Amino acid sequence: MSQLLSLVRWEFFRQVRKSGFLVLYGLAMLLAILVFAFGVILSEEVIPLSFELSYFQLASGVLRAVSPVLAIVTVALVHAADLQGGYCRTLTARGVARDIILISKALLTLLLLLGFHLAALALALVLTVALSPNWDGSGTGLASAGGSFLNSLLYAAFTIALAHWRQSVAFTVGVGIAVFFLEAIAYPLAGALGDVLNWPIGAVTSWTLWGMSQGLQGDSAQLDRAWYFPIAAGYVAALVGLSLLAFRKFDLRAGSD
Amino acid sequence: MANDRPELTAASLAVFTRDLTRKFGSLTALDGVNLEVPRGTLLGLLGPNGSGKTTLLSILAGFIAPTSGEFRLLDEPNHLKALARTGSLISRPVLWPHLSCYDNLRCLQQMYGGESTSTHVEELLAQVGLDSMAARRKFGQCSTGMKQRLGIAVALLGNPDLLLLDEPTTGLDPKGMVEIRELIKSLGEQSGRTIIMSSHLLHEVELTCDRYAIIYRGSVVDQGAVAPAPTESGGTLIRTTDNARALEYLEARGWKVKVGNGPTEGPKHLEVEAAPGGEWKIARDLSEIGVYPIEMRPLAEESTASSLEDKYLAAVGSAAFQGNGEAG
Repeated sequence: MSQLLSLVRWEFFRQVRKSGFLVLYGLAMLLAILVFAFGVILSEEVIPLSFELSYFQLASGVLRAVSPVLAIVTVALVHAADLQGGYCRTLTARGVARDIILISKALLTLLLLLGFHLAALALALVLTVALSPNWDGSGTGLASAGGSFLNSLLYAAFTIALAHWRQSVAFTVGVGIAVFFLEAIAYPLAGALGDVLNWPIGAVTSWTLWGMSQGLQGDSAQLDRAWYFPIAAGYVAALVGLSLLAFRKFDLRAGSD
Repeated sequence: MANDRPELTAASLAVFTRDLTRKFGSLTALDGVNLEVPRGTLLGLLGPNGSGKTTLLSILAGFIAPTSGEFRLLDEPNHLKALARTGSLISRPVLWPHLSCYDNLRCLQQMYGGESTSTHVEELLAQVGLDSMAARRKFGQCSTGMKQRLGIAVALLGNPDLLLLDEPTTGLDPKGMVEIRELIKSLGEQSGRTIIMSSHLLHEVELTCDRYAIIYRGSVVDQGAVAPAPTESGGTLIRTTDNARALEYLEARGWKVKVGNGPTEGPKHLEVEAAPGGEWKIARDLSEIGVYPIEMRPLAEESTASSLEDKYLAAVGSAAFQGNGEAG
């Protein structure tokens, strides 16, 4: 246990010193602020906000779109880059168990995503209170943000599996982003097609990552929202299990200059 | 195969492999390697490029798994526990480019579960010849030689009982090569430590190691004790990127040079009369005309003992001959 905590601590120490890492999180935060500000201006000038669509809810909506991409890139930096670069070899060379290495990296990913969500939510809350002094706390912003965080974990777990199976940054980011966007397009289309043809396509697509994501936000007609939490936890456990299997089984790449 | 040592028990072995085989698709990189390395040995693993040296060390270091066969380090059934007492530098040091040399070492010391003492880290850096300025430099900005030195420092973290070093002098300048060779030799002399060092420089193994194993096409074709290094005669044997130009230039600069001719082309090597340490001046002079040494070593007196070069050529040559015979 102490070795696991030490690994998480020192992984954090070296990851946050990567310039790419700081740029990524800085950009994500900037994007959240910009879209939030844009939403505020738009709603003030064009569509006055109602209690149902508070500033707070608007900000969490932004998070919902940004967080899967952030999760994918975070995993690419924390997992895939270390596997591709051969840095995991440096750790295993002294008998640090591969399971512990993967779990420490997964824990760090979780902490980083949690940190980002908390920071973005705190910012949204401050801005909401500042811009709408009469805001009564209504709206589903907090619940939506919680769903967004869980959603990012789902995509992180999926991307961790990709990273450990191929040990390639390009593959991890490419496939992760492609799946995210393809699902974002295909899911509503499939649902609409299912409605027209009266086929239960929606029931099938609700089990995809995007479908799970909709369910976690309470936007799925298939199951009650509460059901999606244990199902998503099962997804995450299965995907991390697959990653462990791959990490134990495959040769570690030597990296290249 | 040479067999010049008494029967060994498992406990007295630092490394033991039996029928170790590794295939990459249709390529057999290791083909039934049997190796027994007694504790306290400094073993030179020799072989041409692609013979399987790095694959063997990578299996021992736990980076890749063997296709079949078995192996054991330090007589420890649990490979992870054995690795905790094993330092390795395989292929090239892979450290984090955005961290300084010092931070890399400190970070890894913590991640390996060792005690956090900055003194130990500083001592290690000094031991491999990295001064405080080099220690502050980011690893990504270090020269190949500095990286190699830091890689050795990482391998030495925690004072391991076994060291696996894959061509540790690669990328070092001649002075650095001598320093690292001396360091490895002194590490090997410390009580009970075993070192396996791969190289394709016969002279390096001859000067550093007390045993050798020759690996060729994935098999150990010869192993035995290294004969004492021949005495130096005051001259330097040198092979360069352009021996003809080097000869012309060195003679013009007043060096006394003898030519060793190859069978078909110009000078095979040059023998330059120089006092000890004079090789640096030769290298400096040659660099002025853009000619660089490929090999540079003190000239040895004729030795009656069979040299490692003879053994190597005999082992590799006969193995190649047998391979061709089988193929034919």
